[in-house]
Amino acid sequence: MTGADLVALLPLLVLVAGTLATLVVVSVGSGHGRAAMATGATLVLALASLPLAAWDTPRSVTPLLVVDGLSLLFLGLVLGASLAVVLLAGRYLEGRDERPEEFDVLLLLATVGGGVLACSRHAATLFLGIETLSVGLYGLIAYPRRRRRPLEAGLKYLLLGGASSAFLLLGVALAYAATGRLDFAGWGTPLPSTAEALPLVTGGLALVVAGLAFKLALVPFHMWTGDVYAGAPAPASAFVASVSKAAVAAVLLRLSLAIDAPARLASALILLAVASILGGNLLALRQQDLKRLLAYSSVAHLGYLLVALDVPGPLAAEAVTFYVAAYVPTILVAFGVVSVLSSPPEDAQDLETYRGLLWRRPWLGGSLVVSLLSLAGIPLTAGFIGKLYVVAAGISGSRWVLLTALVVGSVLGLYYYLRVIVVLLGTAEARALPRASLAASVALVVLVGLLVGLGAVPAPLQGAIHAALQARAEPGPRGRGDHVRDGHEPQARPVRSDHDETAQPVLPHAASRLLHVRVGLHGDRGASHHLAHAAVAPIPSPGHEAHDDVAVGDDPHRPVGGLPLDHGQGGGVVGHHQLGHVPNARIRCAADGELGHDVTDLHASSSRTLAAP
Amino acid sequence: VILALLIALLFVGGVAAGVAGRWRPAAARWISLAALGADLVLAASFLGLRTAAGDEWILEVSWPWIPRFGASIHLGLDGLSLPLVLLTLVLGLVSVLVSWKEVTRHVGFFHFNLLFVLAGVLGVFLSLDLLLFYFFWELMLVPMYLLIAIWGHEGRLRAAVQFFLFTQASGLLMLISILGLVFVHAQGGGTWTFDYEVLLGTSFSPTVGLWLLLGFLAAFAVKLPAVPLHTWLPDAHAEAPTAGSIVLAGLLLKTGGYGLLRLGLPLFPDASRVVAPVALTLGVVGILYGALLAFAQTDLKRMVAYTSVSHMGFVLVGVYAGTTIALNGALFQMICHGLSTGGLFAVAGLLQERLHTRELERMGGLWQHAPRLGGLTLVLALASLGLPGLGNFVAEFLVLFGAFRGWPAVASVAALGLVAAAVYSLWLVQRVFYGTQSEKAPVADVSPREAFVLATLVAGLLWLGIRPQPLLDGARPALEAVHAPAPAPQPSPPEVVAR
Repeated sequence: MTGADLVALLPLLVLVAGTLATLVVVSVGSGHGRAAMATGATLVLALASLPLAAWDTPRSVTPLLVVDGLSLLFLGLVLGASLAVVLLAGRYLEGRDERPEEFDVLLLLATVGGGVLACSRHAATLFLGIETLSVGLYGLIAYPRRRRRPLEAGLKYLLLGGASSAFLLLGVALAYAATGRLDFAGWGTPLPSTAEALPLVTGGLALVVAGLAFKLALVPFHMWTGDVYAGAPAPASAFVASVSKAAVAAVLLRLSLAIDAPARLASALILLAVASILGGNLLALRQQDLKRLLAYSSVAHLGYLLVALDVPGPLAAEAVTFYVAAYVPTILVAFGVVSVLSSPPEDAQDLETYRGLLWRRPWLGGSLVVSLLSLAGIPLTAGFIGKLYVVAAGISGSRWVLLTALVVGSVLGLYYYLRVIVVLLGTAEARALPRASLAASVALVVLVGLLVGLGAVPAPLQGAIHAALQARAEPGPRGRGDHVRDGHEPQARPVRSDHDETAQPVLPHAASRLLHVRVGLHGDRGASHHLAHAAVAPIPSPGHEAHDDVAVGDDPHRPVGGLPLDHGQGGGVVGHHQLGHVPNARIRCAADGELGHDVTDLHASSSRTLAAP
Repeated sequence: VILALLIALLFVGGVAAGVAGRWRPAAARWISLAALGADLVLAASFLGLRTAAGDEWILEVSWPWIPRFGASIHLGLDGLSLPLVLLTLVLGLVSVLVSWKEVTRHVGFFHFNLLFVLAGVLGVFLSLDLLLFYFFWELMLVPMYLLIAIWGHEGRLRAAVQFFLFTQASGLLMLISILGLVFVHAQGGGTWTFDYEVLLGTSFSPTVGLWLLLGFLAAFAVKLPAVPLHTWLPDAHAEAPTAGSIVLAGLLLKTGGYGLLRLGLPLFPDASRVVAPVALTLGVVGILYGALLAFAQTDLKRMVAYTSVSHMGFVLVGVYAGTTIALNGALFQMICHGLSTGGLFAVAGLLQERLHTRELERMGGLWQHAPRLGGLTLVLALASLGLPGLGNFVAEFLVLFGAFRGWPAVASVAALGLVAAAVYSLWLVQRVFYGTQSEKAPVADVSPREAFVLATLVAGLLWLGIRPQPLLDGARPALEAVHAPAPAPQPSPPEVVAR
């Protein structure tokens, strides 16, 4: 491990050191104020170290962790969300009869787990991250130990979390048995003995995804979510809904990119997505408990996320990232308002508590309305752009079933978000409500500003996400391995990157197969005048005549999809090519282009899926 | 830049009114009035402008917005949108004025919402970028929902939720269609763009075109409303506060018609020809069904609401009749219906303020107490029934005349709607102003403010009825372009040279 590696890991190191420091502060017994201060300072420091960590990236730090644009982005999201929870929780915790300092330590511990997940590229860090996150969460949820409901919630989360870990481990074991690798990229390339290994890998990966689906509360792994959200103290619910979801979504995204999930797990993902969208929305429809309603709505939202995840291509990763980045502040605002209005021992979760809130507390009520509108995907909120991304991704992949589910789900969702808004608009009866602390007010104002700002001018975040995805260490499932900055300035020279593979025999009834061609172009931003074309040409293998409807020949320059690559920041272009009834054709993908001042890598790869009938 | 200012002024005014209203209600009213008045002056100054030869837009502005999607803030004004912009601002002023006494709770927030709805409507009429169009389309719904849900009458919550669900669900289908169109365009060798003028040249297979059009139609037919999708309308109109009803009937319905004219026909000329028979049938059914149901109503506002269904049927017929004359008629009908129905809803509001009821049964014999109100209402009702000399006559005549050439049967049946309109309009006046007097104490006649509002609308209708030509001339280039879309720009080959 070099110095540069340590710099890249700085945010995580700061976080761990801060956790220990906070532990010391708490054990000295200096009260909640100091503990909260230490927690906040740790998170702020970790956030501040992000630009420093970005200095020399992307790089893999040991085979276990990767620090690149994507992980830094999600790291920032996780840290920022934790900070918001700390700020929002202040007064809630002080109102307790028990020692609230432990809350801060547990929160930092769980954040460490989330941070590790954001950087994970290996089964070991995946498991460690999940477990660290979960252990912290068990404590956070069940922490008011004299109350029945949080204890019940904690126990449920513990039991189901244990089950999901078992799934995860079994999946990892199967994938390891088949491929002999534990890193995500290794799972993407089956060993030569493909025919035997493939079911094992697929099964293993499906189990891993199921384990993650537990954490994301996707239907049918959602059973814990209502009880846990409703039973946990409001700040803990906020943490489960934001930090834990973002971290797991990050690792799922990275896994999905590495193993090309849309091609290999398509039907499972579609099933999960449709079930979650419909199930979550239906469960939320008649809820009278705001926390439970938000819990089930989050099930549906993760379902929307899967719609984007199920689509191959660069748009999908961008859509997933943006959606998470929009969802986290949204749900934080909602739970933030709940936290502020809750005074232990009873949380403000009955909808009736909120009747007329908009008139009694215009700012709090207004924040909740903005958050609900963002959840519903109404313009001028971040949620709208998120939904736009998901729909665009769905259309680009022609996922009509998913889009139908999305429309139905959105209308259902709208109905219950409106129900809450109607309650907020109701006539108020004068009743004392807790006041928001200064910290909580600041956090809420910033978050609401973020929601509206992202909704009106999403371009900066989009640019950041785009750049982050470009600066990914692992370009694709079958790329040329890790792109590492090698220091020398390449001259402008034409390059050609070929990628050959043998197509699987065609299924008897498959009318056609879709070949996805990826071209990646890596380099610094601002590199100019580069161009790459992806081309594909099936080459008839000896002894087999290629059939009619594929233009077979030696024209590798036929552009596929017609998507030109320009600028150094381009890359990851996908073209589609229909393969007809070509038995055992060899496929060659070629990428042509010019490497210039700042462009360091050009590569082509392909993957197959069966086209939807 | 002026176009963006037009919209921004309303946003700023809305926020200012919202803030000022917390401090002093009257300030919110005056700020709204000032913002709308300034906007109206600004928009009226465009009347003198004419397009230069070969230029489609009187005014146009374009800024990048979301470069990742190829969406821009692209606004444009032509002869089709200008009258609708003016209508928006006039009815906006009317809405503020009729709410002067009616709205007493949360005055600042009311005007905040009102101005945001109007800004959204303006945005829809001016957008030349499909994402921006959708953005404004959705943006006007939330404040409208709040207007109904907070300041409406007894059944307001149900009506508001129904309105919101209908329009949102159909809006989502439109979003999918918009994105589908953009994606098809991108696949055809272009890049991602939401720009209206670029997308006009998109080519696709008939099936794809039909599906995409259906997505757009869903949204527009709900707004218009076309008959099977009209069920939200009577509730929403009846339960909304007066200003809400005026904005709903006068403007929101027009966004549906405008969408058909601006997007539906030019983007999908072939698919539009396919759906024309169905659309015409729905239009005719709407005309007759709306008129029929208007008879059955005992609630004044519900009755006016159903007449809207009937009148908007003419718009649908005009749009799909396939001739430029009919298109002219459809546009004309939108303007005149906005004025006349806006006026009738204002009358309903005034009566409710005085009598605390909307029940026709409990009205009657008001003429002797309020002759001026009666007179103005009579003119509005006559406009609604299509009396020559008033704008609606010109509109309906043009629609029927234009439709008769291609679809004689449709035009003939639709003409029956005129007869029905005559009956229900006169019946309305008769029940409210003549007959035996209700049990109520003497009713105050219109105040100068109210008289001014109604007289303005009446004057507008008269002017349009007597001198329809300027409006028709202004709109002609735009409407002719609808049927003969500009030659498709050649799909550009993949860019070889980087930007």
